[in-house]
Amino acid sequence: MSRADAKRRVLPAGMISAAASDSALRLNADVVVVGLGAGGGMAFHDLALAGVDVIGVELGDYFAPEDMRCREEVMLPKLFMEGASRGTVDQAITVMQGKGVGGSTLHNTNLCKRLPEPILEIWRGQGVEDLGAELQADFQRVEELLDVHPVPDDRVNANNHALFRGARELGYRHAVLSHNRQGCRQSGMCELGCPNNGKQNAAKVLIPPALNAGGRALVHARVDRILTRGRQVCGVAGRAIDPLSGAELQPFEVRAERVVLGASATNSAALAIKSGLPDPHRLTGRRLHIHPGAFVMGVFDETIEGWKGVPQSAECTEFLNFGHDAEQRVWLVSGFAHPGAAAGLMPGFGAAHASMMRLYPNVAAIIAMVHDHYSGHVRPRDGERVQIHYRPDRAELNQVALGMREAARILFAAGARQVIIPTSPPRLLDSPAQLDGLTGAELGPFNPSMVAVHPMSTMWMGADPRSSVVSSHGAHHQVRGLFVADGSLFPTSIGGPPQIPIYTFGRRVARALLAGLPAR
Amino acid sequence: MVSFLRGVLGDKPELLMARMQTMGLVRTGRFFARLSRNPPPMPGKVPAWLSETLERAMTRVCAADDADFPDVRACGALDAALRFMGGMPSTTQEELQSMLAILEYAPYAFGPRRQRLTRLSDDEIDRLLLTLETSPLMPARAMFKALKSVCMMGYYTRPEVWPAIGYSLSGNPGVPAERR
Repeated sequence: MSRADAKRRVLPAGMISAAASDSALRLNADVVVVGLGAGGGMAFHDLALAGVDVIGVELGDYFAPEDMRCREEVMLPKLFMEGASRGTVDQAITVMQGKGVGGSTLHNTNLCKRLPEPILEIWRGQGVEDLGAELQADFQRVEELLDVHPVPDDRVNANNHALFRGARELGYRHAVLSHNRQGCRQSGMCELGCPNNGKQNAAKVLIPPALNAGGRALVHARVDRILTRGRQVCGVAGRAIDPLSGAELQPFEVRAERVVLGASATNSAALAIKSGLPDPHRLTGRRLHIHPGAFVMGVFDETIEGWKGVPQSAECTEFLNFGHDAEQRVWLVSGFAHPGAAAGLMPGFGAAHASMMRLYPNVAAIIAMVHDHYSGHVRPRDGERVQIHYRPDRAELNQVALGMREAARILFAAGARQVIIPTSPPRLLDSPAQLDGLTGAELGPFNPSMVAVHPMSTMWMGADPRSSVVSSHGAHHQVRGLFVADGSLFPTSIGGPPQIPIYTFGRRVARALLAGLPAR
Repeated sequence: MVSFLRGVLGDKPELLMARMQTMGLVRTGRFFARLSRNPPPMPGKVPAWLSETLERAMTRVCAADDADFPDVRACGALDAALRFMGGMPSTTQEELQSMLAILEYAPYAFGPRRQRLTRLSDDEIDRLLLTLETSPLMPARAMFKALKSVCMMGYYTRPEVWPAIGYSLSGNPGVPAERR
């Protein structure tokens, strides 16, 4: 995209492209929000509606509903960080994170859950304050704003029915999930961006009212540095990015006495480290949790066509326990992928792989996602890229094995004639009796192929600056005026979908920031 | 050149991988480009010799089990894969292209025959891919995973392939016709 193309680009009023500017951009505001996903978007929304002069800066593109194409090869590079190539440094775990106005809420499958009480209790034990009635009221208001409701029975597709059927047969605890949808036409294209604008995501619910209220958004702008004056934050600086070629263009700077980081648990922490912010206890970027997950696929005689209809409406929580001594920590949730990604997940290659791909319409899949106690760390790399250091230890691999065994058991109980487990070499099982041989001791990097979509915990909350990075309301312990409003805040893995907690903490952080602003 | 490579890298894949890690992926890719007198990896435009490597590898990664799967070369899979790579950050593009350069010469270290990948038979490439996929060396597995991901995204997103796997967008009323 040339600069002229960027200028011609139609963006909503109040939103400008940094790539369209002829020269270095210099802007001023009271507050700058970095990243317009769930957390940053909510902070941007609440601050703008409160009359604050706020600028939201977003690396990615703005997508109008009609920009969403139902094609993986077109949308994945646009909607995901690093063009959907992000992974751990050893490349063993693919890490999928969103990019663009709306962040991961553009591509997620709309799962909505509050933080479970046992997690809140653990956080209280780690010194996080104000996790009581006010937080629950915030959850409630966020759910109302996003129109969260359980997926109706008649919208549970065959892929999700398989999980329900199997879990019911085995007597495992299971439930229908709540989603934030309005105008959903069951295209099944959620992960590629809804073509029918049926998601109540940040781009639809938060950004338009914020812009109408006077908030400004700067897109195609990569923040490379948080600017400080002594221990006081004073803005951000970075580069305009060509949204088509990814080329770096002219610099920009936004001066503000308050900065909110909402660029995700990987990029916010990497930005803080890259900016050389004071970190006397070397905490920033550590404690990374990602909910590593493995797909297990069941082959049925009947047609499943899991790509059709509402994805991920079923969960099994039989093996999901919280607490430091929890022996079973796996969340089982139905999952599916369109052909390009599905082919990448299907084990092997060549003719044998092609034969397995023929089974695609008859496959139901479950993701075994680990509520991880193990933690890695994140460091900056170059441009939008980050180094994600995360290699699950034996205890976590035991959980992965448990999850894959139980997912397979559910699929067999639901009527699968064969179960495919993507270990190396792959296991093609005909009976649940073959499952006992699958243990964590046999697993390791690339075995099985794993995916993570929930990075969190890299700038966690707490009262004590020696053992936490930010306060219970997101204020940085070391730098005045700096706040964090994304999944970085969570002191532990949460064992479930993070979007509702991230939206909610975005709101809570905005409230704390507002309370500290001079009277207007 | 074979004797030169053996002299520099030794016989063992472990030595090759260790040398690669020392040099860095991109420098290794550039090294192979210089060695073969080809253009080096360049973000935004994949040199022809690396496209050939990708296409040849793709014919085996996405090999058909029967005739109803279209040929990789006939369905635009290479272009789709290259476009997919083109959406990645320039540094990632350079690394992926370097990976292709290394893959082109990987048979010298991993077998099954000391020859460039594009000069191997189908069976030989299959053996090489299996070696990479199951290697105890993490960089070899990472290379296989990256290659597989790009190939699958290029091939299985082609509408010409969908009938063979029973996938279709046309029977889905929620998918607007103009955005398929």
